[in-house]
Amino acid sequence: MRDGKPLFVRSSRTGQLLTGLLLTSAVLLALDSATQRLRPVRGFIDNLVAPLFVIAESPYMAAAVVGETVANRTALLERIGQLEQSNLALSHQAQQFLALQAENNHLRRLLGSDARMASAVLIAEVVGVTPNPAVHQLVIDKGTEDGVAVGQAVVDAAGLIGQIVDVTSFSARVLLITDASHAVPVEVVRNNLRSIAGGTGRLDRLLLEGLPITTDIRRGDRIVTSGLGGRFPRGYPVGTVESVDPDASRIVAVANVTPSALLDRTRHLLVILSVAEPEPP
Amino acid sequence: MSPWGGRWLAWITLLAALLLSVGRLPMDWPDWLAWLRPGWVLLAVCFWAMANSRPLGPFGAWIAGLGFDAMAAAPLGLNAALFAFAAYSVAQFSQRLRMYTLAQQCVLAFVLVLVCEAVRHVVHGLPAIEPSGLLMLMPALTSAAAWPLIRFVLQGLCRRFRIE
Repeated sequence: MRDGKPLFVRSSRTGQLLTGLLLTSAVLLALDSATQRLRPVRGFIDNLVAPLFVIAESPYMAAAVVGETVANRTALLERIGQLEQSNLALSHQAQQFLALQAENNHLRRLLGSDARMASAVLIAEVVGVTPNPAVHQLVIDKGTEDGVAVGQAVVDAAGLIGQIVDVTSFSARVLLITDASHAVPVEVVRNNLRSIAGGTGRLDRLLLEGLPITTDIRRGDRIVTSGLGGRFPRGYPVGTVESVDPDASRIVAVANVTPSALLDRTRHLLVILSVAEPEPP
Repeated sequence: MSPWGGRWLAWITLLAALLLSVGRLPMDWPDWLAWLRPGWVLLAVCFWAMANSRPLGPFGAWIAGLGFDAMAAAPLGLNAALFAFAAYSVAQFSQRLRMYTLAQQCVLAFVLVLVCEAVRHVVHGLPAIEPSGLLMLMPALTSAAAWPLIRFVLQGLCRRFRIE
């Protein structure tokens, strides 16, 4: 009998504790979903769990180091040769690009527009992937200490990756353009047709929705960022149109776009620190 | 062993479960394999809630859930509430659940993870994503399959550190 009573007291206290925790969770959920007030709290917890991402990534980092260490001389020489060739080709393109940029800025001045600013970029490495496969986010190894801020665009060598949505002192989260909650203003290179590329939750697919059925868009068209809204710089490749399908009403069409960036393969990314001036309307 | 010993072990295993939850597969493997990841943290929470010495209560589960929310980019409080509720429910029926056979416990793990996945999908608004319908079942199935392993490893640790 002596032990009987405390058992009931403990049980009731646990019930009260659970009720308190559920109520707190409901408040947190409401605040986090509807406002930005919990950003500091999330940043604090992100800082606490950031080492777990690094530990989880360490086998891949170690494998990369070991792979470089044990690579044989012939393979390394071959790789250097490839990189030299690629460097030469890119230098050639860069020379042309500089001349074109100067000419473009000159013409823009003649038209009375401001010259475009060159974008400053920061190289970052992917240190983690969000464990929820339905949420397309990456964790990178650069944070506020390196000048990263929420809203900055992220690209890789092939095209647009996404944008920074959360940042701590030494890490940041990148929301990929394919996430179901993401959308990016784009235009078709061939005819400057403007649209919005929405994420689908699939890493290999973006959608341009609500296009009038008569819109001049076809398979193979290249899609780039339009710079509208000022969040993404203009002209970064987003993807290529794979197919254009009319919807059931036959009034609007939906274009399926394959992203240019290697969203699930790339390890090194570029964070664009200063956004180029958006095109005046 | 003192209750603190049990608590330390519970927290260390929870950290290991969080680590398993965040570890990624090699980049050249198919994306859909990510859906096969068991609910490691929830299974660990259930194991410790079932233990006689109760080294982990709803509050501990809630804290672990907050960490999981931050890692999984979920709304803060979502997994915290789910884990706390799971810990409380399992602890309420712990004596009966400990008497269940391994197969019955696997079914329980399946149901718990499925319910949590369903709540996550509803709160997170994920039904809009095309392939998530049947894929929602996958973590529940793999969790049921992983339960014997979790139980074996954690029971081994309990015996090693003399935790009831």
